[in-house]
Amino acid sequence: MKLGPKQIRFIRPFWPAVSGRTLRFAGRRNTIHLQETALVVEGEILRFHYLGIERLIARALSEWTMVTVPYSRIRSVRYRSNLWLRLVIILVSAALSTLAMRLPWAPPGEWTALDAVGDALVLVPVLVLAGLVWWGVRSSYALVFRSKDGTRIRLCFRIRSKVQRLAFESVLRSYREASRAFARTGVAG
Amino acid sequence: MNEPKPPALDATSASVPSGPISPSPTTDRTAGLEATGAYHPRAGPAPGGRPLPVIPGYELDRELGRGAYGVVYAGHRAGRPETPLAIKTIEAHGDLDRLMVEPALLARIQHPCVVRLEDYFVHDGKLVVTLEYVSGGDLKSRLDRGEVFTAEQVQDFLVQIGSALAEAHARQIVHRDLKPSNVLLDTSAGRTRFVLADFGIGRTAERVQVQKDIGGTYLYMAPEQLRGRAGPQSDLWAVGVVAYQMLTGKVPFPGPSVAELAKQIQYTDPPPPSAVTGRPLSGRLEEAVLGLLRKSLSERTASAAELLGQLGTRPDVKAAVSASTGAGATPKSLPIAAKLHRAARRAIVVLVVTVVVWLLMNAVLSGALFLVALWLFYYAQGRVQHRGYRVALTAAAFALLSPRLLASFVPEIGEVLTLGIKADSTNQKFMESISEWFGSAARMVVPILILVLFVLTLLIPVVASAAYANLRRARREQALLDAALAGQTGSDEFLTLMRNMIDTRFEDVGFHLRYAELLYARGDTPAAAVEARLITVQDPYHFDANLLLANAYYGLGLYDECRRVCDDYLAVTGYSFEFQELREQCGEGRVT
Repeated sequence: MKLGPKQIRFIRPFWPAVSGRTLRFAGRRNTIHLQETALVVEGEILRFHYLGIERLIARALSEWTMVTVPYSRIRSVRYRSNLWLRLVIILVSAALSTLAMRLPWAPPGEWTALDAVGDALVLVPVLVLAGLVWWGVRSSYALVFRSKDGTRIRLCFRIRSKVQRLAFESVLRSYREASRAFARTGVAG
Repeated sequence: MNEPKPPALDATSASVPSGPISPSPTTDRTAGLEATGAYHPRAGPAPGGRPLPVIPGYELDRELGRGAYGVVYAGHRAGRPETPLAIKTIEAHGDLDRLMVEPALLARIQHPCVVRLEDYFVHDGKLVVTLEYVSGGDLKSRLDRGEVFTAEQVQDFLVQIGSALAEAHARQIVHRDLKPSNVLLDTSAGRTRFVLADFGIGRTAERVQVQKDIGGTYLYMAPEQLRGRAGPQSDLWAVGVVAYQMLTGKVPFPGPSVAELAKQIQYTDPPPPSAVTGRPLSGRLEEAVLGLLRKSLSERTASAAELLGQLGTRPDVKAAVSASTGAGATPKSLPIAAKLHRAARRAIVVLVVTVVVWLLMNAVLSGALFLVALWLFYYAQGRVQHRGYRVALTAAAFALLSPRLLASFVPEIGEVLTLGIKADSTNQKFMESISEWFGSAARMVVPILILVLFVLTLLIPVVASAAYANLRRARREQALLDAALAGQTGSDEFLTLMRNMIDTRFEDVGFHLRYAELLYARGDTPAAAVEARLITVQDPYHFDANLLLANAYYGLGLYDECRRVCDDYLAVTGYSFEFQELREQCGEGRVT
């Protein structure tokens, strides 16, 4: 099973990694391929990054490459919908906007056109900021594996369609189980 | 047909030479039937005066073909002569379960481009399978007559067989023996319908394969199938080989012996069909065919649905079959080389335009110095291996940047402290000119222009870096295309060119692997081993690179090193029987 560029997006994790490192990809041609022997990630990997400034020239700083992850090296695969976090963001944004605007607090009839402009000036940046945060904390997978030298490496990505997501989980689970079973008994799955 | 195909290569039971990369023999009871072109109505009623057998419920008209394990007859159900059938009788020889595979798999697939199963049963110790009768013969006989198909016909073939495979793969069925003699042609409806037949060695791909299982015909076998791990993508490879043969009249890997063929399949790229025929070909079709013939599973077309997408067809059955109606089905598209050339040219134009715009937006001299500094920094980080030179060049880059940084940031510090906002002198003069030209309207224009300039300042690096990345990608694809055109041997100059490209794209594992495989195919095993080792530094668990490294060590007689590579891989992926087998051979090699 292969998830192509239209089905998957590699993302930057919302929370920074406590230990280990994170694989960062640029561009939109990246893929994940679940092969029988290993999970293969192919794409434009960022060579170095600095405080997010690299985003402007990410593709020039990246190199097309491949990362092979045997199933036995995968430590965890977690799916986070981040729904609660997104709801909290919406509520906080709405509360802040309400507090900052004049409309809810002005006595009836005293809300002027100038107030409307002021309210809009408050509302627009809050909404833009909320939208950006909402977009930044969409549902995603965090796949953690150990590299050959033992380093803990994290890879975050988002699968666009739910059907693909379920298929991905099912295939990955079967391969990981086969790998574990073979390690225990010499017979896969 | 004048294709150089030794008879042994077309039989599933061919003898196999020793060596780590060679496939093992397999025995398939239906092999004899495949060789006869099973449903081709060329045979007479009863060759040799043999009487036709009696099968209850059916009337046999004539014999169509005969193989080592069975016979195919043309016939029909009793009382229904209007519906001709192909009736296949196979000797069981006590292994009925194995023979039941084909009808069991066929019963799960309903598709107009897969031969339809009517019935199957055991009679008189033989398995009887009744199938749809396809009147147009098989593809092999057409190719043997020297027929070369048009691009539209090949597009039809890819769409129809791609759709059939999409259906089969969705049901976890892998054909494993797709070849011209297993593709039947039906021309009764006015246009050619390609029908996939003979699932005799097909299998279900529901589990991880932990044991070597070879089956198929060498000429059409994918690299991983040669090693004993056939999957859905192996069928796609075979489709690519057949399509290539239809376009050019030649098989892409004509190896004179099985060992040579195995080496070609695993380590060389075929030249593009247009280069073989000398005729221009739609870039989209050629890309689709070459995409099916990529060695690496990651790079090969991933699924039949993806193939249909590449050809501009939806993956559902009706769309696929109705869309491929022959003439006009192939959209006009530039040849591959021209497409790559155009992509590279476009990227260069975008890069130059963005740099010029950026320079014009800034003071030209300081902007140029800034770009030179960036280039120096990038060159130092990416190309220079010597630590001292790298540090010196990086320092030089910062030295060039420092005047601009000082000029840009130092005056701004005061403004930031006083919360003042002021455009720099260049922008200030520009705005004053605007005010002179437009008068009071400039009050509205100036903020908009500031906004536009700000957005441009952010966008230009993004566009320029994307153009740079696209240029690198186009150059990479051009180099790989040239590698395919250079053929198996490849000139020294060309290898030097590839070597130089690897210096600037060291992390590009796929490109590096192609270079290592080219070296291995040329017989330069020590160099191939070195390159494969370097790839494993970059991607330690890369399957193909590790296998190439182990094979190279084996070829050099370094059995302990070969065993160590195998052990390392088996430690993380125990069921990789490819390494297990090689490891065992290392033990044998050391003993001898």
